[in-house]
Amino acid sequence: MTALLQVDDLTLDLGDTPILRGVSLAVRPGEALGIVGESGSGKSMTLRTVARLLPDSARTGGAVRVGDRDVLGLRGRELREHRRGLGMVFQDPRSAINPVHTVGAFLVERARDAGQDTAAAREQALTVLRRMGMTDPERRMRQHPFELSGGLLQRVMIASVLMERPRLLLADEPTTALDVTTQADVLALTDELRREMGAALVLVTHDLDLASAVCDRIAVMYGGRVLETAPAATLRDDAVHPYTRALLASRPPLDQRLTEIPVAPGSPVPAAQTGPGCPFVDRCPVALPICGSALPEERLVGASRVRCHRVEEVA
Amino acid sequence: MNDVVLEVEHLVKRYGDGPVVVDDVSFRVRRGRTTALVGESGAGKSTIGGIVTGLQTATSGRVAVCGEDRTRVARSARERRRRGAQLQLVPQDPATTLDRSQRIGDALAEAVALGGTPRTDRLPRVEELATQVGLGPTHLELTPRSLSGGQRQRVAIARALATSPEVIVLDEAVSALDVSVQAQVLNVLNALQRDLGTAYLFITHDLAVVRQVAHDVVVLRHGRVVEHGAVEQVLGDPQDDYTRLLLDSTPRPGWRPVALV
Repeated sequence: MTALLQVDDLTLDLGDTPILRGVSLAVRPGEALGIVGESGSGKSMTLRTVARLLPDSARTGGAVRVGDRDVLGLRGRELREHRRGLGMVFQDPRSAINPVHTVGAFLVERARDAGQDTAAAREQALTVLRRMGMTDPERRMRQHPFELSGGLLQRVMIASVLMERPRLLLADEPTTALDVTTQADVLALTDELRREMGAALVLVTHDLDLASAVCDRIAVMYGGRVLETAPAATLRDDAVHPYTRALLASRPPLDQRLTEIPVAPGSPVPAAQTGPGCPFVDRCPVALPICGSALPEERLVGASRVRCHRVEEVA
Repeated sequence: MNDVVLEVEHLVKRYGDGPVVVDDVSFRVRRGRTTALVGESGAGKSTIGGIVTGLQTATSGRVAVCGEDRTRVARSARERRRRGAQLQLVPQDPATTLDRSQRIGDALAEAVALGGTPRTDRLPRVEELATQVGLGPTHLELTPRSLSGGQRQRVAIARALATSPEVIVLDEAVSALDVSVQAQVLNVLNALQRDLGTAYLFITHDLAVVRQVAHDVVVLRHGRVVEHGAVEQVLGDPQDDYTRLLLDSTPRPGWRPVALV
């Protein structure tokens, strides 16, 4: 099947600062891709590039296609149509919902934008809020955003996005600010609705286990590059790239205390602080001199697409 | 029972006529051990941390550090200093407590001086502290803004250690760190405890972190203790439904989120 979202060799600079280098990703219709990484990895900026939510100083290279649209070249009306076709959810719903309107007005307006009449929009809003785990949606519709907790407001945000039945859902740390029990609830309900609607998803998160729970494939980013892409189901056992392995090992288990958590020394680096080679080279336990001078092409190792000079040794 | 370095008994906190945010909470922290306070927003865990560190007052109940009642206000500057030396705080964001323009070496020297170290011994003590948390001599020359989040948190831990405290209160101290850096800081904390015997009151919402650092755990919900015991017991065989829900909601390998109802 052809890809719904295709990112090829994407580069992004903000002013003179490199942010992304050689990022390639593909998402098929209905598929869920998790982009996982730490601070400065470029995961959020990749998502923002797909939505073309970039500051004026941004310069892009490579290609981003959604359906038959060349996203990087869009302007004016075409760009607005492109954004309207996407469902976007961010970490803080308060920055995306108008605080002076009621929740109901917000939801009905979104549905009317999508071409529904008011009564139908209202009915649909109530249904989706119920599906998002709200016990008293009529009352919630009459309330303003400040009256709702972060968890409730994020349910409203996701409901508003799903009501428009987007083909592609872009979510940036959508549950990171929520308590864990709320996070699990929102994730489970969103996952069910998304699958029913057949929407594709790109989920940006720092949590590999969370991404693996709701995504089909995982792309691991570091220093503005994608270092490994693999099926979520087998990533934990079959991770190839030394960074993916380090990331997996550094999250302590719930069922036993380790004498020492295995760690890579140092801190994550943004693309601006990396050389021409592998961005993980300074922290990598198996790095060779060549790792610092060139980043290898993607290679298929088992089910993983991975960029590493040491694949034969580490796989 | 003289190995109890922090004792909290029947602690209650209520703001005016508002709701009770800490409701009859009791626990102990023993020398060289870690007690974790875990719970979600509104559980009261940070309020308890605030009361224990003297930043907030209790409505009723008792807090004792090394057997001395802390609910009474310190009578003299000397008493305040002694109290400060016994119990230290590492907050979530060290940027809020570090002077942005002060060199790390100077910030640590100041803390060492407050701990009563004689002038001639201060520099070696600063270097010792830096080494203990995994910072080198070059870091001492820098200001906080030149450090990464993980390095700043190491500075905050070193500064807390400067007075050789019996107890350190860590309030979500590793929560904002990237996982690969969080693991380093957890290792540093565990190694320090093994070497120095410092006790920790570890406030966190993250059960995986609890498992890695704590000996005892207090599970809080809406200001009340719902379960309290050894970490192997509470996380391995939870007796309370809420503890079980927290565990089931925590992402881990092979985890699937389950809707609440």
